[in-house]
Amino acid sequence: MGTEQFDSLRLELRRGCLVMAVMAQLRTEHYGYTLKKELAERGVEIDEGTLYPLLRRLESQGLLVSEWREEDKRNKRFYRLSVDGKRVLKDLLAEWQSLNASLTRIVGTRSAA
Amino acid sequence: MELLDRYVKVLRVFLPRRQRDDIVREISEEIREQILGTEVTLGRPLTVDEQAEVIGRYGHPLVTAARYRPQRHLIGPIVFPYYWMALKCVLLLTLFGHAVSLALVVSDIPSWPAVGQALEGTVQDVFAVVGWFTVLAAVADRWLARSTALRRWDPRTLMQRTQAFQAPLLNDRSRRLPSLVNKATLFELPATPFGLIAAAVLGAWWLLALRYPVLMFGPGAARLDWGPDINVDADGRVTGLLLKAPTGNVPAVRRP
Repeated sequence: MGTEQFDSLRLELRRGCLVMAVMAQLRTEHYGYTLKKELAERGVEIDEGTLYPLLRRLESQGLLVSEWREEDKRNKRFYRLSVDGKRVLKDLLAEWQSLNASLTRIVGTRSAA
Repeated sequence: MELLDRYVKVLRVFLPRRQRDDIVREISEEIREQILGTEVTLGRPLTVDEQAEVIGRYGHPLVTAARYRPQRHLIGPIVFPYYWMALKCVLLLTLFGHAVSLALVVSDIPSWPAVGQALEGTVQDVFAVVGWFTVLAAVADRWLARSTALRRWDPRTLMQRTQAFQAPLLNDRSRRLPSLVNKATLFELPATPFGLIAAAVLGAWWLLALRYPVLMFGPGAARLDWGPDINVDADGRVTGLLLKAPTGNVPAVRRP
């Protein structure tokens, strides 16, 4: 039960962070596979079943733009942050940093462990 | 890559129609690249199990397709508890009425076909009640979603209502009995949008059941008649608080 509770809360905590991570990574253009690899190299694991629908959702909200292009003789769909996306990401990062600073003050370095 | 072809074929069925081709194309290309990339690294074709591991990360077609759709619901979390509460009340009353009806049928014509017919009617009525209640709750949910009533809510209205409802209750004596304060809050329920919806639905059903007893008593209602202390309206239809069985086996059934 404890693990289930933790998993559920962890999922909730990660949801918003994943959106920020994906958006931040898409400040440079990527297609799904390389985006996933780069996120994993930076410590953010995201499975494909979550990543691709997330990309579509962000695109439908106008935060990303995408286009089909050929690379290495294969067609790929490339995503990058839109102008609106850049603005929203900036606000989100500011919000996250403010929240993080508040949490650090609440939790404190002594009791964090 | 037969497994991949089969996966995208199944996934395609569940995807939103307008984006279907584009999503399938993207996912096919991505999986293909992952598989081919791994094959180049390993220097051999992937086995079906290895392909399945790559494809498995994309999720069950039903789950993955659902993630491409916006979240939708028929009855949302605000309306659901009231829908569920009202449905349980009405189902309880309906089942009670049908149990009475069944008892009358058995006492009148004690045969299996008659019992079977009555039970069939019960099942039909239960489905009808659940169906109608679900439709009404869904309509209420949509109305609430579009209405600004909840967003425009002012906490001060609670004070006005509480004062209005507490006036007859909260006298000096009630101050020594704090439980009465809670009762005042209960009385407020019909004044809330949810209380109004629940009351309207229950009230509509109750009034309809008075006119068409089949809604509460099922097919056995045909064997029931209104009791002696009744009011007869202009059409000669009867409304009242008592029912009686024409056979006389069960002399009267008092509505709850």
